[in-house]
Amino acid sequence: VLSGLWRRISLSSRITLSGSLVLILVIATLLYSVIQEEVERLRAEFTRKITSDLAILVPTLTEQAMLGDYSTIRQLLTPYAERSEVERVVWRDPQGYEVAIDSKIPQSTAPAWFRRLMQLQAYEGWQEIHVGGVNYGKVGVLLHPTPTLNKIWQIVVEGLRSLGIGLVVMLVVILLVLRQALRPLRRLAADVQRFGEGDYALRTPLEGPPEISSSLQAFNRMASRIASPLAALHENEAKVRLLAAAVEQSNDAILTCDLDGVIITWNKGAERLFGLRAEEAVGTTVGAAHIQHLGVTIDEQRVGQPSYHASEAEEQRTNNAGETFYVSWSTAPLLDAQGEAIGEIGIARDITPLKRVQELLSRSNEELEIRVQERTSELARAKEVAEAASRAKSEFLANMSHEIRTPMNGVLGMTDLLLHTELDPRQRHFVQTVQSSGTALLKVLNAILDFAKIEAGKLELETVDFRLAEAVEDVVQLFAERAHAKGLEIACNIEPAVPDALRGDSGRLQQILSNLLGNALKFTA
Amino acid sequence: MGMICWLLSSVPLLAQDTTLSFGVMPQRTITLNAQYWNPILHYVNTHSGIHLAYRPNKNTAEHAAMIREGAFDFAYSNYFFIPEYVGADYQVVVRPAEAAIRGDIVVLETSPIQSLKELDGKVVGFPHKAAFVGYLVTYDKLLHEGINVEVVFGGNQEGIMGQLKAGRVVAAGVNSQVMRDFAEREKLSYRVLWRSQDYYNIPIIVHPRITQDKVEAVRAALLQMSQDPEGLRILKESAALIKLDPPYGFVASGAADYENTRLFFQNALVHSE
Repeated sequence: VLSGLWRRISLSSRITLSGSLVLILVIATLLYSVIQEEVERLRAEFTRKITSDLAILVPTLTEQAMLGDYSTIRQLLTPYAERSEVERVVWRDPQGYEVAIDSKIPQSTAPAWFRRLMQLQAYEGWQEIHVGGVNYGKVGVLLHPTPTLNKIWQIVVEGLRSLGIGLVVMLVVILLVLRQALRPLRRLAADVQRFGEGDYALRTPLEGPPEISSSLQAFNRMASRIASPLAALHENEAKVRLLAAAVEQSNDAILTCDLDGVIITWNKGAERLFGLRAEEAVGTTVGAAHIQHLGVTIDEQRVGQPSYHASEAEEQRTNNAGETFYVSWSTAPLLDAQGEAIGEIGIARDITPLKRVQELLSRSNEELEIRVQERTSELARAKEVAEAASRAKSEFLANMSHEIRTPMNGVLGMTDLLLHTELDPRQRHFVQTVQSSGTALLKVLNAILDFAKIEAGKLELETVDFRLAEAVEDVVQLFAERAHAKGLEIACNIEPAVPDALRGDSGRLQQILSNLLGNALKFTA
Repeated sequence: MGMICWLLSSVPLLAQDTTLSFGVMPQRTITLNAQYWNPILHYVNTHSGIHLAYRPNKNTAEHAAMIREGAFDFAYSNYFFIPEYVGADYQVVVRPAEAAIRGDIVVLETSPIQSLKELDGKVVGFPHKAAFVGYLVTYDKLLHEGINVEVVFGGNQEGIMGQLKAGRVVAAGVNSQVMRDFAEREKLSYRVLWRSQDYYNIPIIVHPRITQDKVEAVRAALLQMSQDPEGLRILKESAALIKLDPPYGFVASGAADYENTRLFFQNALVHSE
């Protein structure tokens, strides 16, 4: 109990307590020694005093004793008896007659236990009065220890008072000094805690007495040396904790066993998957836990075959309720820091839902294939119909365009001839309108014909030499008047780098440009 | 049994239970007197069977009164020579063995004083008032001669001799023997202006009520002391206390030896305390 209490006491309290005990012991020993010395001195003093007193009293009383002058003897004894330590002084003649003076014993101020401790008894001394060989009586002195005890007790009280004051002063001084001296240590404790919590850049300021300052300096040096490794370790620990938490909280069953097939770790996922708690599984063998896919390659590891690798497998299991479920296994050797195999790790996952989905998918695919085949046949037939319709349309358009364009060319020729005749303005206007409308209609027909060719895949481009600038300028010139009429200006600018002598279908090129310019003029305000 | 018989035979037949008082003239302190006389009295008690006990007195007046009243059975005193105390009729038993003493009136050798007459009006020293030859006899002489001097006491014999040597007194009344010893020791030269007749020292006396056989027993014991080694030892030790020179002990004596003493006191002009 004492050692437990002592361990809980702070350094300040220990030093204060120890110092106080030592001081108390020293002063108590000193006080006891002083008192014992004083007692011995007083005993000797009593003996000496009695001897000396009797040496004085005897000659003083001798003549009166010889004369038998009792009244004078009483007068002589009375002053002596008035002394504080004298309890009784007696003269007794040879016949036994006494002259005794008793003094009032002062009241004891010392407690009873102290009086018993001191063992100071009353001192009594007698001396006969012999003169020339004749006994004239004897004188007795009884010294009482009370005044002396009171004096010693006063010394003790003053000593204890001094002890008390000394203790208080010492305690205050020690506490002040320790508080001052230990402040750096308290700060060091706080700094160490902060350092331990990860504040590795922390360095405590050097202060306090040399012993403590050197400790602080040692801490700083140590902190400087281990800060970097600690930071790395701390980071690794965090990673390990995170990894451990991840493993523990993983939905997958993650378990390890040693080279003897004894299960070492067993996470929550394993508990859920295999219906076995960790405290039941850890320590047992993989065989006892019915884990067939773990530990199977251990024998190979033991013989040191380097060909051991990670493996994957699936199995079908039955749970405690008799339900079938599927598990996928991924196993790998568990290696130590030196790369030596120390066991095996396995990760198992419940793939029953996946299996169910796979089955559903398989069935769906089969159905889909059938439907696709059906749809494909339908589409093939529809395609054939559509292609036939398209060909009919194209043939119709081609035929119709050809049939319309021929008479249209006749109309245009006639209107052109008509314009070259004398016509009043109104007629001319009518003819011009017919010509322009016919021209526009011919363009539509050509376009339809082209479209039909394109769709029928019969559009053919001619390949002839032409000059690009001429072809472009001809088209622009055709639209110059219309542009001018709308208040627009149209210009042709061909970059010098563009080659001029080209081979191709200039008519199709001009057709493209005409469509573009026409739209441009049409939609330019 | 033999031892008891021997003890009984060693005790004189006169041994009695009664204790007889022994007074001592208070020349010295009571204690010193007791130290001196108690061993002697113990010897006498042992060898005479008479139990003598020292009876001290506070002062000379008390001693003188007890002499006058005959209160002491035995006494070492010369007060009984004084006329007013003779009524008790004490008788001399023995006297000290020492030689008779004389009183001298002396001056320094260098003193111009040649006769007692020249001391008239001068300062003269004496040991103390109880000194028989040193004061009573010498001062009584001056009084009889009609010489008036201024009396100074020195406390004891050598005290007044010291004052004489120092010149504080012109002359001194001294015991002749003591003066001679002092002068020899101190290399002091002096002249004797007057010397008294010889007087025996103080005797041991007994009251007439004491029977003769007891007196004789005491006397015998006292007289044999100096002859007995034990007695002589006691005498020497007691004498040493008061610096008394030999011869020690006592010798037989009677009234005749003190006739001049008795006459002196009878005619003395000096008042004795």
